[in-house]
Amino acid sequence: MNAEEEIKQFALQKGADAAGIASVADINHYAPPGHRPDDILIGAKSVVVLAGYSAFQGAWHSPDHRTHYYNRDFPRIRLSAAAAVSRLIESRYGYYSLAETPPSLGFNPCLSHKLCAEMAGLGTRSLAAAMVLNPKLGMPSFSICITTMPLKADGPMTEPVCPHPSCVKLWEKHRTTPCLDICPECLSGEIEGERIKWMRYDRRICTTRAQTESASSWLRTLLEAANEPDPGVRKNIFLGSSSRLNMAAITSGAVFGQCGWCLINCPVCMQARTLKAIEPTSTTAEDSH
Amino acid sequence: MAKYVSPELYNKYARQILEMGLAIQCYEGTTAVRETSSLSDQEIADRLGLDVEDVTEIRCIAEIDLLPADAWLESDNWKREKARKHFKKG
Repeated sequence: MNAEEEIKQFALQKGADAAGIASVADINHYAPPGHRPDDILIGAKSVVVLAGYSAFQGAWHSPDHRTHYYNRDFPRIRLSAAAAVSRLIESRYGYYSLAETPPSLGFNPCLSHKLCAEMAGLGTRSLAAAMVLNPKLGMPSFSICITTMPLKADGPMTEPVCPHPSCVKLWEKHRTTPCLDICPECLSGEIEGERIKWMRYDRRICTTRAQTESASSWLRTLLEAANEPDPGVRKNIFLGSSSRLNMAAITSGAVFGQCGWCLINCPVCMQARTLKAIEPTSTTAEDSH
Repeated sequence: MAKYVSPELYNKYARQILEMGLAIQCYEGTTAVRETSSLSDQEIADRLGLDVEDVTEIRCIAEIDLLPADAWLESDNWKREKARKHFKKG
């Protein structure tokens, strides 16, 4: 087993559902200066990208729209999985590695995990807010390990995941797709042939949906309360359900990915979310032990 | 280190800096078009002749400030309604 296979297998053992390797050179072709892997780790050559299901599949079968972001799957363990990969590379191969980047500042990530995932062959951009879709995982969650170890990169996928053939047909008939139809405020675009021709993502409204309960929302609430001249109204702002839900989300870390409605009818994601019940047999019962 | 930015500078550039950043993302195919939007703070600073610290500060404020205060509540209602309709139709 070569080093690339060992590292990827290790990532799967640590809880990732998929792993890929991107070259820093490929990433730097698209990332602006200041937001590149070697801006974070001097001499970085490779980025190991880990991917996993964002939430348990059952979380998408709840009539409560908050269930899915309180039922995170890979996001709960993604940093520890990436840290374990980082530790493996340092201890076994002697190359510098790290698993966490300095924090994002507002809309600007320190390093785009989506870009790393693309360059590692773990998915392609979609019409839905340019989110990276994976044919098996739907909309995955990602973590990364940046390393100075020169690894053979997997490179980007050669065939795009989006648009799905059913979306191509829908576009031909109705000039829309499930994601564009459900969220026209944030998304627009066109398909030409079997490819995305162009797309536009307005993150301003999207961010209030994806981070409804978050630090941003709370800070805006604080500002409104501070500017409110009526003490009774001010109290209601501070102690009302919106403030309390913000606090619950912030303290539990469930502050991202709170929407996902653009992908609720996405055929790629629907396929990824669909389970087929397995009838237990005496063999399967024994296997589970 | 965060830098204090004056209300005058903020009011002059807030909307422009927000729209030059990642608030609006345009793609040709699946490749980001980074000519007038999706720019980094340094790229925005270079184009506007500002300090990058001022751009970062203005952007951080504008991302929250330029949305109406009830935008988050409206979004919560939007999602609740989407879920209700989605599961109603089965």
